[in-house]
Formats: sequence, C-alpha cells, structure tokens
Amino acid sequence: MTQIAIIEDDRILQGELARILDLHGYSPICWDQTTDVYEFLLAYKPDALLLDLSLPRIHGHEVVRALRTEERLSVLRHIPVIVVTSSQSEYDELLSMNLGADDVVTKPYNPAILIARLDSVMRRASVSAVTSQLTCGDLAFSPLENRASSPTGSVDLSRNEAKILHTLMIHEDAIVSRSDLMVELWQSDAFVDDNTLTVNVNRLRKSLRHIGCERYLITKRGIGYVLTARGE
Amino acid sequence: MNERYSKSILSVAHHEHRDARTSSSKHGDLLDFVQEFVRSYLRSHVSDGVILGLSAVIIGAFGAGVSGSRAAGILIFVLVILTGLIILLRPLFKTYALQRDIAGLIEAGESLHISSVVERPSSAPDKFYFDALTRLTADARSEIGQLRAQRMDQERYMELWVHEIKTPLTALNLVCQKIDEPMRSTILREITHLDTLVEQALYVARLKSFNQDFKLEHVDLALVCKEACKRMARAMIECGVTPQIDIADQTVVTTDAKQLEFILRQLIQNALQYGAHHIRLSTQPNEGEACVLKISDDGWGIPSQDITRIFERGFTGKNGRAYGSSTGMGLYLCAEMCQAMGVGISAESAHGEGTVIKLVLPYDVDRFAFEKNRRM
Repeated sequence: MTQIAIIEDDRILQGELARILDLHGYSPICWDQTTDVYEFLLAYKPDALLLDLSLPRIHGHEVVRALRTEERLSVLRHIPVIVVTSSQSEYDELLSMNLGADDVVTKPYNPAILIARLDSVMRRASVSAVTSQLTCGDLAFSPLENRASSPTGSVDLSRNEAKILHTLMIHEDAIVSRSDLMVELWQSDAFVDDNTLTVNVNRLRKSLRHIGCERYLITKRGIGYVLTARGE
Repeated sequence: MNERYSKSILSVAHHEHRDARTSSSKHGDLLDFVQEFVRSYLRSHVSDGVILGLSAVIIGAFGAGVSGSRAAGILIFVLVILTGLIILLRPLFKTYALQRDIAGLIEAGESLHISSVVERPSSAPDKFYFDALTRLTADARSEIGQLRAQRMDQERYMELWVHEIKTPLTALNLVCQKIDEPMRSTILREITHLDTLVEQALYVARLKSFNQDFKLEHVDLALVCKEACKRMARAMIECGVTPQIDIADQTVVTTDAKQLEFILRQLIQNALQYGAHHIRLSTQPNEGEACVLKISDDGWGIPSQDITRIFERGFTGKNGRAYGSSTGMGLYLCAEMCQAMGVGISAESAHGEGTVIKLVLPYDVDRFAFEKNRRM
C-alpha cells in the first residue's frame, strides 16, 4: 500500500484529504500536530507527502528545504512532495519548486485534480509506482489511465465517460445530481449541456456493460445518478 | 439590434492625453504669469503711486519756491518721483522670483513641498507669510502621512484576512460534498457566493490603494474566458445556460489575468441575473493595437434611461432592481478596475434585445508608460 503523509494543521481539511486518498487506494497517515514534523516523517517513512505551507510552528518551505538538504533526513531526501497552499502568490509557488517540491496545488482545490497531480508525481518518482485506483464491488477504475476493469475484462473510456465515472465513484453509494456531473465535466473544458450529459451517461453505461458492471450505475429519475455495489 | 451607447470609459485614450506639456506652451504660460503678476502688483499699489505723485508735486513746488527757479523745482520733482519709483518697485523684483517659483510648484502639483524648495524671503512681511505657509504644509504632510500609514495597515490586514478565510471556505466546500440534495446545491451555491464576495472585498480594497499591484502579463483570451466559465459553472448550469466561446487560440493580450477573470465572472453573473439563456464570448475582428472582447447575452436588455448609469456606484436601476448586484457595486467595481488597468469598457443594449459588453484590451503595453501614467 502506498503511504502518503498529510501535514496540514486544519483538522477538517486533513480529514477530508485522508478520506479522498483512502478512496483512491492510497494509505493516508495524518500528522497529529503535537509531534515534531521531522520525527513523524522519520518514524513513518511515507512514500509521498502532502504539505500545507501555513503550519503553526514552522513554515512549509522550511520543511521542504530541510528534507532536501539536511543530513539527518537523508533517508527522505527523494520523497515526492506536493505543497498545498491558499496563497495564490506566484512567488510562493516558485519558491516551493525551487526548494524541491514536486508540485504545488492551491486551495480551494478540486479533489479529482489533487489526485491526478499525486498520481502524476508518483509515476514520475518511480517506474513501478502504483497510481490511484478506485474500486466499487467488482468494478475498478484507474483515473490516470481512464480505464475501467472487472474480472470479466477491461475497457478504455472516453474523457467524458471517465470523468462521470470518477465522480460517481468518489461519491460511491450517494446520489450525484445531474448539475454536479455537468459542473465536473465543465472543469475539464467540456462545456456540456443537459442533452450531451444524457448521451455521455448512456455511453458509459454501454462501456460498463462490456465488462458486466452495468448494474452498478443506477438512474434516480429526477435527482441524478448513483454508483453502488449494494444493488436495489 | 438598436444600438445605444452607454458612457464609455476609454481609459487608454484618457491616460495618453495627460502626457507632458510641450515646452512652447510652458513658455507661453510664463509670459502670462509675468503679465498677471506685474498687473496685480501695480493695481494694489495705486494709492502709493498717487501719494508719491502728490508728494513729488508738493516738494517740487516747495523747492521751486525756495530756490526761485522753476528748473530746480522740476528737477526736484523728477528726483522725488524716481526715488519713489525705485522704492516702490524694488519689492516687485525681489518677490517676482519667489512668486514665480511658488506658482510653478503649484502648477506641477507639488504645493506641499513649497517651503522646502523655495528660499525663505528675508524681509517682512514676506517672511511671516512664508513661515505660515511652511507650518501649513508641514501639518498637511504629516496628516497625509498618517492617513497613508493607516491605509496601508488596513490593506495589509485585508490581504491577510482574505488569505485566512480561504481555509474555512475550502473546508466547508469539502464537507458539503457529503450532504444530500436538495440542501447540497443550495449550500454549495452560497459558498461560491461567499467566495466571490470575499474576492470583491479584496479588489475594492486594492483599488483605493496607493500601491496598486498589477501583474501585467501575456494572457491567452480563450483560456481566461474558459477559466471564468468553469468557475461560474454551477451558476450557469442551474440557469440552463451553456457558454459559446468564439475566440481564436493564441489571441494574446497584455493585462492582469486574475483581475480580468474576476471581471468576466461579474459580467457573466450579471447576464445570468438578467435573464440570459445564452452567453457568447467572442472577439471582434480588429487590426489595431487592441483587441475587443465581447460578452453578449440574450437577456432582458437594459432600458435606455438606465444604460448611461449602469457603471455608477450604487446604481440599482428602475424599480429598485439592481443591474449587476444587490448593492449596485458589481458593475461599478468592474468599471473602476478596468480604468485602473487601462482597459476600456462599454455597454450596448436595448430593452428586450439583450446586452453586449465590450472590453478593449491592448495587445501590448509599454510598461514604462503604463507605470508613469498610473502615478500621475
């Protein structure tokens, strides 16, 4: 299991990040704020790190710098670091990268984008890195590759189908409204309207049928769609 | 469409004409100043002249009587006049230089620094007036300094506050993903609204700043329009509106990207509030130095009695309905931001026929000239 350390002082955000990572097949470890950050990292030796810049006793930049240069932290030297910050300052972004961060994400962020960045960073860091994967019953979906699979086989999805499936899987068992799906699709530059959404959902259904998972995608007339393994 | 033009704030033209005055006009001004100065001096010393004249006549007559010679009398008369003129006119020359320098400084907008630049006159009553002036300007400068410091403190606090508030807003946003409908859409919409208001507050604060922070950079118009639409996704989708973006790739202008994106979002928001079913972002074919970006909608349009006032601060349209926002600040803020950025903004509309907002964005900006104009 790929372990990702989360260094963030806001408990709610930390909880949410952990939930998203867990959902995508990563194993999150949360810093408990009372221990020293470096001791925490040395103890767990995570595979990657999500680091907030505005921490209470120490600045995130300092942590990045220390990880990349200090002798006592040399075992962590090459660990991928994604900096998460509310600052929109380009200077902060540049400085983070110069100090050795692999990527910078600004708040507020789209969870799917955060995962995509993490996947991408993990893949760059190691040839055989396991990237994120979501599962629901027999159905598995890999966001980085836009590929859905099941014991029966696998199928490549179009960008829109993949986006819809990803969103439904993040909200597994909960109903996602049509508006929400459209908002998500718009974020990838696909400014779809109501009809186009219906068309894309039908295409997704067909793709799922190829791998025998059609029953997981349920239409809730008038409300939206839900992806669930529980069956009705 | 019946075109009626609103008040245009064409800032590019506005800034240009304030450029340096030509030297020939300066020369002309100097001549005018000299004439005016001499004229007013003479006017205020008319009584002195009369007294001098009379005294000269009396002394001359006396001298003629005493010496018995008319020539001597006339000579004495002339001598008295000459002496009197020298005494009367000497201050004219002395204070001329002082007055000219002061007038020059006031003309250049440097009135607060008169007492540090101009030499203190040594004679009364000029030196008393000068001391009073020094005191006055010192007090004014000190007050302005205090106000500036206060303003900067406020700004710094504002920036910090905006920064801080993003964290709870993000947390709220994430947590609300788990709430069920119908509450979910409502809450998420309100959170987006909060986010926009926070941003608005920041931009309003920055506008009043002495130290406006513009990041002039090359901006791909198609990209920034898409970004604005993405951020307005929820609002547009809920109104059943899909954007049409007709902008060629690689259409690059020079401006502050974040502020432009904010303005676009405001304009989209307006269009939605005013009954748009379709919003189109396009560029007008243009060979000149600037690109015209059009934001068109097919909403209710703006009635002709309102259109010249839509950019006014706090303007809320007929029947108290606000065009742009309930506080009437939305479009006002856009117009102010455009003016500060050197972007032109105008609106065309007719009641029942939709609205087109045009933004004039320069392809390239001479940064030096931009900065110089801004400081004036």
